[in-house]
Amino acid sequence: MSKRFDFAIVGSGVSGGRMAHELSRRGASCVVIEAGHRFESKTFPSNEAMGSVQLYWNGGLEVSKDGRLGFLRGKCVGGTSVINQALLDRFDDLAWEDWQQVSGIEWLNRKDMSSTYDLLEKELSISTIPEKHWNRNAQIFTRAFDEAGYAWKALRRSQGECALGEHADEGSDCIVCLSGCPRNSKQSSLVTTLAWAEKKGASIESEFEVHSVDHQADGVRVQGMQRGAQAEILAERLILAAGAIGNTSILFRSGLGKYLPALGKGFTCHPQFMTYALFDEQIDAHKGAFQTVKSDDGKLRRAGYKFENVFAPPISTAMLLEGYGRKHLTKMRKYRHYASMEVALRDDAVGEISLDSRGKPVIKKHLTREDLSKMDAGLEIVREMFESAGAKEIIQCRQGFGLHLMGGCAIGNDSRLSVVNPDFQVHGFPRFIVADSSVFPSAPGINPSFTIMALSMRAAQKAMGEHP
Amino acid sequence: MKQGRFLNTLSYRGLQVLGDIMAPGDAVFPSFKRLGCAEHFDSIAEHMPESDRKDLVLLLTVFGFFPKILMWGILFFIEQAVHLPDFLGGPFFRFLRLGLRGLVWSLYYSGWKGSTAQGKTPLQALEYSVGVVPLDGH
Repeated sequence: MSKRFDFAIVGSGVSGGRMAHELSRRGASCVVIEAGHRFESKTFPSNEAMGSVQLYWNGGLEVSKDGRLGFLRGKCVGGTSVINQALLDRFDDLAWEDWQQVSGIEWLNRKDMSSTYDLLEKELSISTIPEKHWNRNAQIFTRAFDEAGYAWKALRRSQGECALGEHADEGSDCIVCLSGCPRNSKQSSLVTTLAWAEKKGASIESEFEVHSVDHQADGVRVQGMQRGAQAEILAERLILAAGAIGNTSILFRSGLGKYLPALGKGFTCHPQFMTYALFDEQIDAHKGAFQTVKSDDGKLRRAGYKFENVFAPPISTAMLLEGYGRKHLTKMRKYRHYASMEVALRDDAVGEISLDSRGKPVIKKHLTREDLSKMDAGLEIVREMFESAGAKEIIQCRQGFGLHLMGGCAIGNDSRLSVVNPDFQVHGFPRFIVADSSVFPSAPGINPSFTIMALSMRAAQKAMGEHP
Repeated sequence: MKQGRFLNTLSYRGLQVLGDIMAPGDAVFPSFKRLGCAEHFDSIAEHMPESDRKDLVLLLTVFGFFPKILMWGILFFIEQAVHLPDFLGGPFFRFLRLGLRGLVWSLYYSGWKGSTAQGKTPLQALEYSVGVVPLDGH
């Protein structure tokens, strides 16, 4: 590829899409580089198995070095925004104050970021699922929270018209959207920012796996493999938007580890643990809007965990329920009678990403004593709530997994403790810009997507010289 | 029996034995072997990283030598060994367990069945159905 772009953007998810949109609409020429395939609403995989292997890295699941935590990250055009639930929450003071303290950056506070959130809210279609569409699983969740005296609220999602029915079998079943939304209702970057950026001239190079990047005096060079052949892209500047694992791996493979002592450090993932609760009645937690409400309680927030009503399709449920053989089948037979809830931890930033001898990421992530204490306390609250709701049997899954993969390229003033400076440039490498979840200095304990968008918008403004 | 591109007779047998222990079937569900879902191994394997796929096929080939009772014992051991501390190899057995469960449950609960299989798939047995109102349905 001989054309030289203003910006090469590695990654096409929440940050990559946002950066492409913001930069393209300001007249910059952009190319978005994505390792995965480009699917559209009509071509998304049709079953759970194919969704896992075609839309996620590593054929579905990456695992921590000790094998105790699984990580899920999207590998397709649109990235993780294609496979998540497009939940958009503003950070609260607790999250911002922690970030400010860890990073030493003044503008990381709620007041300074609120105008960016405001701009995003004006542009995006954000709503909650009306109560009339809540399925039985959500009803059990809210009733249990009310009885336990905890506050909850409806999840804010970026969505269009989901065509939900008021009863099961009357409308769309959103669990399908874990393998991509066939209605284009979920506002992934595929149908929003990337589509907008393409209209402004941005191009997308899919199935291009970046191996390394080179910071040169007059530009940047991106090298990798595209559909089995070596490929190279030249640009004035590079945006790394491949997430905590992707960005860190690329920078290590590019030899920057020796200049950046904090590279790969501070990895967090909001470890999530599911509880299944068996009821006599048919719950059909997989029907309709399967994820609609969450905890919204100051006491739980300060304790370091949050709860959401969620459910999992059959393969994922089989993975989570222990055992095999006839005992396993007996558990699975009751699939339609399970309610479910997850507890997600605001985990300590002790994880570390490095590379093995083949250049593949190795993720060291263990739960600290404090994390384990939060997990036990959170699971106990879930148990009590389900028992009060009349569950006949409760199954608590100890296999944790992380969807919010954060850190590894933390933002901060001190180049010994961080990788990215307050202008989102990699310390000592001003042509490299990072503004996705990898720059998070600690785990916020809140869904990260909206703040990734906000940081990316700010980074784009800075890159174009608009922001002081 | 359709072994496909990646499995030979031995590794295909290894997968069938493993699958039949994990999903032996009951009054509601078919057994893994009767379902014939192993025929769809290629659909999953072709998207796996090549090194992982080679390791998996090698493991299934080794399993192909084992009688069912030995395979049962190995699975039982793996289930216990995941609790081993890291320095005694706990991570290896956790990886192995996740990988084997991922493979078998992905094939079994995908809705696929073999070319000559009869009866309900596990998803049909669960009466699991999900749908999406098409965009042009409004």
